[in-house]
Amino acid sequence: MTDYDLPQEILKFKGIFDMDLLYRSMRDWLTRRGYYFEEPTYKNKPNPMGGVEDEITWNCWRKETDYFKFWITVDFHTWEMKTIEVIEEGKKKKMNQARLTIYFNSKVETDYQHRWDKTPFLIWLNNIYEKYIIKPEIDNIYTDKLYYYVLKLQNIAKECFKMGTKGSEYGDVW
Amino acid sequence: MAEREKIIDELRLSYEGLFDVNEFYLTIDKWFRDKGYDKRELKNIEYVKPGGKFIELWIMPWKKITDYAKIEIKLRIQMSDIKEVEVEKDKHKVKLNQGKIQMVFDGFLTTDYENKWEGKPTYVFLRTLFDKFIYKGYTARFQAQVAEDVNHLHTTIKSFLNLYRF
Repeated sequence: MTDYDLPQEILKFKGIFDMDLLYRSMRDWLTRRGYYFEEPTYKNKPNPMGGVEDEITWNCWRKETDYFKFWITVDFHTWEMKTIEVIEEGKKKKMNQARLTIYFNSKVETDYQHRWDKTPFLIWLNNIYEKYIIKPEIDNIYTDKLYYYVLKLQNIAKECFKMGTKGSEYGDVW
Repeated sequence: MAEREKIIDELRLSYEGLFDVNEFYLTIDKWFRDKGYDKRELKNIEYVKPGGKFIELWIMPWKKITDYAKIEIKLRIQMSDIKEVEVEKDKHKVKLNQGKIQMVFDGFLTTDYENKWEGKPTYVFLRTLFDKFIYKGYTARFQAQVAEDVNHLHTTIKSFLNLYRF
């Protein structure tokens, strides 16, 4: 069983946004693509100086094949979050004002059923298999596919924040 | 560890005036896509400040030229005091942004990125000999490609920003 870690993506934003929309959009994107969704951490700390500090962690996984499993971990950390009322298109709407950092981590797990780690011989054989036989598939298909999925998820967050750097010319990749 | 050589060191570009932030970002993205680079965003920061938006973007797209060498272009972009403005062009009102852009370009050539020649000192020695004497011509060609790509990107962005000088 080997984990192929992919590069971390970091997104930082400070301003007004809809936290509820962000949360729902990203969660729906993951669940519609068949990811099993877990939220092991949800910390909410009121700040005596004003606002609220939140720490949320999502662990999402999907069995891509009977050998490969995709993992996406999203960490949200918000500071000084307040609920404010804004007027959008003539209507009053409740939004959030905060400083927020999102960390996107992902990895491809191989042999998640542990069929190849029962004996030293099988472990050795699995190493040969991954290093020499299916290495091109691991590099060019599975890690590449997961990486671009994470970029798409990151773009969902950028759209929610209405960031200037939203959108991607790589949208049709995978 | 892979050998990373800096071919282009801090090539700078500054601009102040009108531009479209999103179009600017997508132009850079499209350039990399067209040239066959894989996307990599290291950092993406956007703060809304009283004086205007502040955006900091660090990207480092890469392209494998062979199974031994790859090109990485590191782009650090800082956009400050960005405000939304409306300008009239050809009797049409167009929504644009006004602000400052500071960009720094770095171009790297990374060899042995799969670390196949790192395991033992003998391998490292052989790799060094190979790089210096046998593979020299190819390495020079790859270095020239890095320089060409970075300069072409620099020119493309300059041309894009010049479109907004009206």
